[in-house]
Formats: sequence, C-alpha cells, structure tokens
Amino acid sequence: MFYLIMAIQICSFFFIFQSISRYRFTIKEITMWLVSFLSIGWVSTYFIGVWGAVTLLGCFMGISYYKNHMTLTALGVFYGAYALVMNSFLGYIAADPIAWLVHFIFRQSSANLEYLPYLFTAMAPPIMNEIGLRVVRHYVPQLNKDLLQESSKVILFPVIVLFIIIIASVYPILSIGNQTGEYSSYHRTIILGMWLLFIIALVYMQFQYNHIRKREIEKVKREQFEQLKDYAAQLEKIYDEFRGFRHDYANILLTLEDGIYREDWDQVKHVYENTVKPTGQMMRKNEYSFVKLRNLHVPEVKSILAAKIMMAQQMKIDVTLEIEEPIHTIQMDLISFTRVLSILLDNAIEAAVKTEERKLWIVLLEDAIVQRIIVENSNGEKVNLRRLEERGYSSKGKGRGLGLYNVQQILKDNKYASLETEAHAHLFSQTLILRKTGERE
Amino acid sequence: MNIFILEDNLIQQQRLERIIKALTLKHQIRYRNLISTAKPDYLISQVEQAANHQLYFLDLEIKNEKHTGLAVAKEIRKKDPYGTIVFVTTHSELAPKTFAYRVAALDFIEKDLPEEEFIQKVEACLLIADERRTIPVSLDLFSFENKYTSFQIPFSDILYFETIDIAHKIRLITTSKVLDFYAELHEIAESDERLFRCHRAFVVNLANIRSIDKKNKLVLFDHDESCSVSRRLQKETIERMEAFRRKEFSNDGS
Repeated sequence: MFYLIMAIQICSFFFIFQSISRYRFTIKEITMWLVSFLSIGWVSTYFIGVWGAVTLLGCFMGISYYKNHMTLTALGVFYGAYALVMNSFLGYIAADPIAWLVHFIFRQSSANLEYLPYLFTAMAPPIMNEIGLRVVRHYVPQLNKDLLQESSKVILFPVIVLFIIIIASVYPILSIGNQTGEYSSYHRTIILGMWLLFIIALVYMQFQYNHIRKREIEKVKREQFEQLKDYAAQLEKIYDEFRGFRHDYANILLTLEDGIYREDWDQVKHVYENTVKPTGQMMRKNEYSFVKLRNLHVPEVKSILAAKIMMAQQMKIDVTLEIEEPIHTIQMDLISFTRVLSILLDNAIEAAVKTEERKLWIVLLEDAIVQRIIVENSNGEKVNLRRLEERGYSSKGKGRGLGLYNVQQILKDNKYASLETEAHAHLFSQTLILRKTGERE
Repeated sequence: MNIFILEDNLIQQQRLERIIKALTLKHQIRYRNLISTAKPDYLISQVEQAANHQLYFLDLEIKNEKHTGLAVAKEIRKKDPYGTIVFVTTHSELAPKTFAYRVAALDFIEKDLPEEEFIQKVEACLLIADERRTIPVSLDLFSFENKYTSFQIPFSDILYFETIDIAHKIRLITTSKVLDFYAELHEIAESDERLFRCHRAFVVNLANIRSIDKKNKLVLFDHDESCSVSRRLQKETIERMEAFRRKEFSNDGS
C-alpha cells in the first residue's frame, strides 16, 4: 500500500510538472519518464526516505534540459522546484479536509479505511494544481510562455532560491514527522511559515510579471513611435522632392512652349533630353515603393516594415514593396507576428547586402482564406533547406541560424501559421501563410 | 495563337502593334489575330471565341473603365487558364509578385523603358508564348486545405511529406521548397491516390519516386532527396509505384 501511494505521488509530481511547463509529451515519452521516475523514486526513497522526492527535482531538470534542446534554463529549474513545492503544499492543504471528508462519508462503513485519506491526499495535488492553473491562465492570459522565458533570469532566480529554501526546511520536518508520527507545534509553525513564504513568492512573481510586462509594452510603444516618426520624415522628404519637381515642371513647360511657338526644334529637343527625360528616371526609383504602406492599416506592422525598409535602403538594397490590397488585421498574435517578421526581414537584409544585385522583395497578399507574407532576397550560393532551422546552423557565419530556429519556436504556438521556404541559386524566399479563422476577425 | 492588346492610349497601342508585327516577322512567329482594343469588355468577349494559345498585353489602368487591369486579368483567367498574360504599365503601378501570384502573369513591361529594352522584353514574351503554344503548360495542382492551413502546389513538384519533432506538424518537401504546416499525415495520404504512406512518418508522391533502395529501406527521389520506407510496406510501395507507372505509360501511349 505504501508503494502504491508513493507511485501515485510520483505521478502527481509528474503531472504537476507537465501542466506548469506545458511541454508536450507523447504517450511513449510519458510512460518512459514515469517508469524511470518510479524506479528512481523507489530506490532513493528506500535509501533516504522523504528526501527521495528531492532526487525528482534532478529528474525534472533533466526533462527540461532535454526538452529545451540540451540547454538548462532558469525556467527549467523553476518548473521542477514548482512541481515539488506545489505537490507538498497542496497535499498539506488537502490532507485535513480529505481526512475529515473520508471519515464523514464512510463513518458507517466498517472496512479498513486507514489508507484511504492518504490515497486521496496523494491524488489531490495534480487535480487542484490543474484547476488552479486553468483558472489563472483563463483570467490572466498574458501569463504566456514567451514572457516567462524572456524575463526568466530576473524574476525566477529569487523564486527558485526561495523554493529551494522551502524544500530544504520543510522536508526534514516532514521526515521527522513521518518517523515519529507527531508534529510539534514548533515544527507546525515553521511549516506554516514556509507555506506563507511560498505564497509570497508566487505573489512576488505576479508583481514582477506585471512590472516587466508594462515596461516591455512601453518600450515597444516608444520604438513604434520612433519608427513612425522616421516614416513620416521619409514621406515628407519624398513630398519635398515632388514639390521641387512640380516647381521645375512649370519652368520646363514654359521653356518648351517658347521653343514650340518659335519653332526652335533644337531648343525643344535640348530641353526634352536634358530636363524632361531624366525626371522619368527619377519616378522609377523604388524608393517610392514604400508609399504602398498606406494600404497597411496595422500600425504595429507598418512601423516595423517602414523601419526595416529604410534600414535596407540605407544599406543600398533595392527594396520592392507590394501591398496591393488594403490590410486591416493580421491573422496572428501581433507580438509573435512582429517578432517573426523582424527575424525574416533581418535575415533577408543580411543576405541581400552580401550579393551583387542587393534586392529585397516584401509582398503582402490578402486572399479569401489566407494571408501571405512573402520576404524574398537575392542570395549567394544555394541554401541547404533541410538544415536551415537547426539551432545555430547558418549559411552565412554565426548567429544566422538562431533566428530561424526562433521563428520555428514561435510558430509552434501559432497553429494557423505555415511557413514556406524556397531556395534557388540566387534567390531565397520565405512565405508566411496565415489561415483565416472565423473567431479572430 | 491570338494576340490581344488592351491599351487606351492610341499612340501606345499603335507602338506596341508595330513592335509585335516586326518581331513576329523576324522570328517567323505565326499568329491568327492581333486584336487591339481600349475596351476591357470587348476583349473579354473575344476570349471565348478562341480555342488555342493566347497572349495578352494588358495596360493596368484604363481610363473611364471600372475594370482595372487586375480585374480584367482575373476575368481572362476564368475563361483561359493557360494563356500568357503580360502587363504593360508605368512603373508606379508595378507589383510583379502580386500579379504573378494572382493571375500567373508572365512579366511586367514598363512603358517608360528605353526603346531597345522595351522591344527586348516584348520579344522575350512573344518567344515564350510561342513555345507554350506547342508545349501545353500542365496545371496539375495539389490543393490542400484544413482548419489550420490552405495552399496549392504543382503536383509534379511534390517529393514527400514527413512528420517533424513538433507534434502534429507536417513538413512538405518539394523540388525547391520546404513547407511546414499543422495537419495529420493521414489527411494528406487520403487526399490524393498518388500519395502513399510508406512509413509511419512519411507520405511519398508515387509519381516522383526515382527508385527504391531495398537494402537501406529508402525511397530515393531526384535532387538527392530520400526518405525511409517501412519494411512492412516496402513491397506495397513498389507495387503501387509500378502500377502508377504502367498507368502513366498507357495514358501517354493512347
């Protein structure tokens, strides 16, 4: 019976870990991990008692390490510590009510019920945790994983330290209590204090989230404002050019008129060749293509496109922008979308600048059921498509592969986005296909 | 071949006609009719009558007409999916990628190009259209649509589909592209009879298999691509591939 309860507890640990980390496991993986956990848990409990649970922390860190493509992040440690503390905490809270409930329901029964409260207590934490997390995630949807990951080091370090202190002080007491079956009031106070500390840690985390998030939003807003300012300045510059042209135009017409009336064909020819014809060339500059941004009515995306296009033009890249239909919404979470778009554009600019032609195309297409965002650049040698999104793979030195790896990671959470990558000898193109869904419109 | 010109500026219209006539003479390209008009409706009504390959030179903006060049091109495409469409326009209206995607436009020719360059581009378009007259363009498209994605791709480009380490995500490998999307492999295998699931993680295009490496249990394609075939399904894969080839062969023969 003891082993059954232990097995249930280990499973509880695992399911709490799974629901906080939201790692995806296949059924095969779950069985594999559970079996190894059970054996590790059993062996360690056999030798070191309640402390065996601590070895599970190591196991969880191992899973995080494996799931994060062989890197150990603060987040990974946090998930493990969270699972451990949460299981004990919720178990502690649930123990007395469950014991009371079992006695209440089965007070008539004469069967041996001694183990029943333990059994339920062992099963309660993952269920309570799941309900709690669902409620929190439902009402506080901004607690997404991206934010957690970005701010992990700042926020999580103190929290992890606190958790470890809690584990370190609570487990010895629990193990003493287990052996003697008695908790002194002193120990009870410590345990209670530790649980208070745990709640404080969670509240602290929530405050930090809000703070960092606010700062993040302000930063993005500020950047966006700067980008739109640059965009406005660029538009004014173009307008000035046109105004100058309009001014010249009147003069040109007068000169031509004069020539025509006097039938001085040499003068007409001269004016045409030297003044009129060059203006045609001016109109053909792609610099004006970004005026097409007017069709894009999503300010966040507009500002980022304007900024990247100007950046590319400063690097002497010939940018062609095509937005032929008005676009009012983007069919994807905007934060993820702008991140993906920035990475694609940065990669394209970086590759294009190294080529002879220095071309960059940005095309936004609005269809009935999909949006397509195409980023295409002139490229050197043909890229090996199969190795592109491996972490760290790069056709152009270090760092480039990481961007595409990140794109892959972001798109993982956006099921309605598909990514098409095309490579030819001198051309590299990526298309984001966003499927429209009824709900988001 | 019929050649159409849609252009509201008479001088430009005659210029293009003159160039086309000179070039067809130079290259001995034969055409039945050369139809110039400023009226989109007239042009569209003429499309119905013709059965052979057609080449269209369209101006994007026609004065006093509600139809823009793109709308005209879409109308043409409805009636003539294989025709060659070329836009002749000013630079400010240029959107080559959009138009290539929307109506499979072959090219854009800018009116304000220097004369020689302009002629060269018209020449290139004429030659391509003349070639297409004899070699029909196949439009065998594989269309896939589910809750999460929607795309089309020429069937002959498809090599195989595979699962990747992100759950429920599928990767399509084509001759020059890689496409990642959310779907289930069985959805794909069921969508076309030429697609066969030869392994738990792979669906292959039977039409593009080059050979099967029985020893290493691999399906080989052109472009150095290959994927695994399960031992259990190896025999069936070969049978299906051969059956498919026989069918193709007899289709070609008839």
